[in-house]
Amino acid sequence: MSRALALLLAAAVLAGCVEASPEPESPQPPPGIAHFDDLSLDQALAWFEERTLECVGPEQPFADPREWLCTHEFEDASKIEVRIIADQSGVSQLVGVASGLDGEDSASFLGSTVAVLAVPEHEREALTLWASQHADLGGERIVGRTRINLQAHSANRALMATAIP
Amino acid sequence: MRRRAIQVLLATAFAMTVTLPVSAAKPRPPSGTGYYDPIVTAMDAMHQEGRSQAEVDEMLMSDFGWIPVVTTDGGVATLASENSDVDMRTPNVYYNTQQGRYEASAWFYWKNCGTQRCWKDDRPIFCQISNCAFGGRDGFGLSMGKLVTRKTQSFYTYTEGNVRTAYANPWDADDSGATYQNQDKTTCTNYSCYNWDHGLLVYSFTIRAGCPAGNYSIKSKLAHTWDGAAVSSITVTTAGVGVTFSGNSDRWQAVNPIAKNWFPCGT
Repeated sequence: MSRALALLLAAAVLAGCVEASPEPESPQPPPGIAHFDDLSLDQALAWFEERTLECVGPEQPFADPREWLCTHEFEDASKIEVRIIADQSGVSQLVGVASGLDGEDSASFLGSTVAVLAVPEHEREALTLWASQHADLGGERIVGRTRINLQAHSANRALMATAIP
Repeated sequence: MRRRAIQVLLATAFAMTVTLPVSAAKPRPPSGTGYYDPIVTAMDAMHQEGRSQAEVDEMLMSDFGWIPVVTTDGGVATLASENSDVDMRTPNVYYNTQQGRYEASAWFYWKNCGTQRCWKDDRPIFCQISNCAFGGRDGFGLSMGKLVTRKTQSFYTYTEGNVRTAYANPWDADDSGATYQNQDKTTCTNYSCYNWDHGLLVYSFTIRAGCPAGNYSIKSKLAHTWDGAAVSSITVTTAGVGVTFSGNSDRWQAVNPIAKNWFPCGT
């Protein structure tokens, strides 16, 4: 009994020590979040807006990640959209979705409009070609510090570009 | 989201009204109760029939020349298009077996905003009964991602009723693509028959000797202006179509969101 009581007391003291630890003075970015090189939120929004997508989201990025949604719906009801995940340090993820487009157009949008933003200039052509070749089956590859995941379905195709540390 | 604010003077003057009478459409004296009788009668009749506000707005514009004005909290009227009001379709490329050359084509189409074509948001407030120019010139161009050997090019625009205008001379054309610019305007009464409602550019070429490998990505760009802005130049390189404007900020550019990627000579 006395040993169990000692353990309980020790746990209580430890808990008290943990609770007594000082809080950090300013919020830190969530751990494990990486950002694309040379791509700011404003640059990403301007890129998609010039390409006729309409973007909505917070006026300014915050310390922790938020989402901006850019869409364009064609007159035939096919639709393209991009979700931009960003914080004050930059853009950490791009998610593109193509709905109602054929395989070639979907791959072109996801590869040469969305994914190319997340990789260096000299990698863009190869990435565009890879997206085209994997339009039907999908696939994953890592380009520099970006993981590209292409998902293929019959009606909707999606691409996720995520910055990795 | 409508972003453009028309002149503050106009906005202030009409902030308290919902519709803006345009004297040019029906040159009746805008005073005296008699002027409003047929208008309110028509409005009332449509409301009684359960017609939508958009239909009432359309009637007011076509029959009486009244343009709906949307006011924001600050009292600044907004009425303008955005580049998302246009469908920049994916360019295509064909091999012309009769001519022994390739033909790259690019379309743009204005979309509908409710019951109206979206370009109507940019109509000039005051203009003649027909031939209402929307700001200065607009521009459209097609670019190739790699140099080719240009053969020829053609550009056509159409009204919403498919009346075609052909343009003889490009503004710029070389082995990287071609561009055109011209005045966009309505050519019928009541702001209709807009001559740049949709357009098609065809660029004819052959592949250069040695068949240089890589992506011959085909892209297009539309530059639209209204009120006090105009396209002053529209040029083409393998990097894309470049536009410079003059005048104020009543303008936008639109690039096709889906490029035509093409590797005719491999990677």
